[in-house]
Amino acid sequence: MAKLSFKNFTLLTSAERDLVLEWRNADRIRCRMTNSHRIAPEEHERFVASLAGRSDCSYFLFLVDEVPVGVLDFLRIDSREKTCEPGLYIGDERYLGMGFPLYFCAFAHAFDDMGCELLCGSVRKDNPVSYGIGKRIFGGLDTGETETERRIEFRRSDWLRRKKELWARIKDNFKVEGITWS
Amino acid sequence: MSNSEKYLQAFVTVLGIPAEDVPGLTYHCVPEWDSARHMELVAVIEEALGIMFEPDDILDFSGFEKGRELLSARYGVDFSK
Repeated sequence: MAKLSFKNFTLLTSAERDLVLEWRNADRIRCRMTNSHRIAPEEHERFVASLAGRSDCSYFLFLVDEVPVGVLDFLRIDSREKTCEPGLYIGDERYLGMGFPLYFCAFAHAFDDMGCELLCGSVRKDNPVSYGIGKRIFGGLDTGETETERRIEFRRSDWLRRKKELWARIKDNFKVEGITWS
Repeated sequence: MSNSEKYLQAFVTVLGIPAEDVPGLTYHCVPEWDSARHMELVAVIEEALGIMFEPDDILDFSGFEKGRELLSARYGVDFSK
């Protein structure tokens, strides 16, 4: 059974910050980002340091059995409107199969811990897989599109209706034992 | 092409694994079968067999044999043809 955990970027060690930068600059991940330029180490360090006092976004390192595996972030957190935009990627290619559990954790944290009512997101049109997971498994609703991206929303009511079943399947099919946040 | 052949071919095409190695495969047991390929596999099987997976079944589709069971029991796919 796998233990999933999430470590806030403000608590990362130097080695973990370096690992995240390495992932973020990998072509496979960088090309899917809105900001797709290669990030310099100094820029990365400044960015992580800047997160300490911010309430509009949060970033977490995703670990499976204490092995760093990916990144989960929540952007444009609006506590009045109770919305945010989750984003995620698997950095360690050996764990690409953990995408579904990571998706589940993103929704669980946003809706159940942060109290969001609505999650918004943009998915690049050249990333049909993320779009498919969001739409078909998590019940996302199309809200518009640009030339390059699709807009998708997730409602708390849909999450509440689906989460028990989803958790049962994530737990069984991915042998997940528990989820912790720090 | 029979339904069995179409089903097998979907794995070969999406995962890039020889047909003889496909039986017994389970999700994430080989690097080729990750979350992204899983969704591709679902799409290819749906098109090949003319069905549409329910959301819960996408997650329950955890292996080659399990997929056959689901398709047969829940979508009426006849693998004897």
